[in-house]
Amino acid sequence: MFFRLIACSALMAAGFATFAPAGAAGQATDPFDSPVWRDILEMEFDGAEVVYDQSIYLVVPDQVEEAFSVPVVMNFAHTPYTVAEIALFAENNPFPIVARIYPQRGFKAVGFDIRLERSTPVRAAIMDGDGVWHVVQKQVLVMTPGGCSAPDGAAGGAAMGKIAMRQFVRTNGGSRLKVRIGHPMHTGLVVDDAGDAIPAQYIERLSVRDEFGGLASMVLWASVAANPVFMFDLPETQQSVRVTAEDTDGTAFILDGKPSAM
Amino acid sequence: MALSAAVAQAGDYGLAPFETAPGVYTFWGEQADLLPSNGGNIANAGFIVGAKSVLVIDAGPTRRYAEQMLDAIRATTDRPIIAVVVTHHHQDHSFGIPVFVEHGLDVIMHPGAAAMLVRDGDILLNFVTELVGAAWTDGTTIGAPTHPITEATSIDLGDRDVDVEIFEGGHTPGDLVVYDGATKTLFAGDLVFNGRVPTVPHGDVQTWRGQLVTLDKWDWRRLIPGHGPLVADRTVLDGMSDYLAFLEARVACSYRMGDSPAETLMAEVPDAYTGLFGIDREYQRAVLQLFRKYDETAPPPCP
Repeated sequence: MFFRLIACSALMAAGFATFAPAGAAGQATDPFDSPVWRDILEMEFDGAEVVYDQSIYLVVPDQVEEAFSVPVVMNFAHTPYTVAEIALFAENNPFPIVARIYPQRGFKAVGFDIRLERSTPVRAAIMDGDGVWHVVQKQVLVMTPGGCSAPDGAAGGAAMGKIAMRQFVRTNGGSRLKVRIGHPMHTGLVVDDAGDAIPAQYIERLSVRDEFGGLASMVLWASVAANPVFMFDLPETQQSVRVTAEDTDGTAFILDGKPSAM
Repeated sequence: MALSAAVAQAGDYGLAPFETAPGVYTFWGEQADLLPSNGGNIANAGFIVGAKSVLVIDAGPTRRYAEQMLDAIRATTDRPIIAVVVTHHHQDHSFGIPVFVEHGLDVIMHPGAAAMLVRDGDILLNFVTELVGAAWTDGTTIGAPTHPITEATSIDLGDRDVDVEIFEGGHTPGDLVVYDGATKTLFAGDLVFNGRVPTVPHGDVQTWRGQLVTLDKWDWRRLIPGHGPLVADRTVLDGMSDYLAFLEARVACSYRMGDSPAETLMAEVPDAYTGLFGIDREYQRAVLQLFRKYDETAPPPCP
């Protein structure tokens, strides 16, 4: 119990208490002034309006030891606009775009595990209902590079295509759904013991729906970690969830189930 | 504590045995990361000299280390070396094994450790080479024990019987410790870390804590840990056990609340543990590893 309180209060202190007030003015220029990001903006945002602000809370460790599986959470609990689309980037990765997420109804947080090849800004870009992109970033120091290109210490462990779901009652109300998908998520950049490149094979499409309707569909790229755990914060408790995933080889995985409570 | 002499050049470990107790010698590793300046010499090894023969404890992190260790032992005593006990499979203790095999010496190890070495050896070797440089690891290969043991064994060195005891599933699937009754000295391998954060990826926290209780009850006067300086004070074992309990409780409670590890890692490490060498890295590794473990098997209750 002691630790439960500690963990909870630390979350509040480190996270939500430092939240910028809703609607805090952003800025129009990249606070990191990164030329790589300038190129990504041109390719991915096609002239749309971009503002740098603190409108979402991006949770990712400042310093990372195991670069092949880095947990990231994007929290919208205090976001003052409707989240229409989410894009996540690790701009110094071989594949800077990590994921695009299309919410089908409101959720308060989404998270999953990503690969980082080297130290990089991690950026979440959120499109509001008016088509403006709000970008929030955090610099992450990677101590042992190679999260995309070195043999992956996390690739084993789960059977390919095995999907497991768990549901948690959150202390701040609502529930959190976690979906874990067994998949090696090969980037195509790792060389096996015989010196041959392991071909790229990763989940590129994922959608989640429950008895209330569609939740989100996602397009993923090779920077998502092996055996990723996807999580969503929702106002409701789910009785029935359907997860549909398809990888780059065209293999489809579908699971209907009731998430086990914890 | 006595550290190895400063290294003059890559490839030369400058190994000097320190007589910890009569006839019991230690090669103290550096309390440091794997670095080009230390060639991976971060763990403690040693040897016990009996009236007739010599037993070596741990094979060191590279071929060069093992060769230089054998030279250093032969410069200390002319009694024949009969065997090496490899306390577990981690690279800093086991990568010198082939040198002992080539010299016709018995290599004693737990079969669970041997299996882990088969599974992870090549990956670990690449990892170490990247960190310390090929000048240190050149020629290093992954070895196997000649004598896998699953039961406690006594080894007669002449005037002294040395006991090899078995601890499974705490720190790794197969850890061995070596006890010299003549001097009441215990080589505890990595069951005990002194001043350094224990690594948990290959073990089970509760099992390990139980093993620390067992070790605490043994009649030893001095304990040579796998990492860090000589242990004479039993509170070191309690402190280690406390850290392991803290770690498991924090992750188990956080997991049960539904946190992402990214959220768990925002909470500070208590002051009692911030001074442990390697806490920044190993704590994060351990949290992520325990999260993955609890995805497979339910976490223990939140205390």
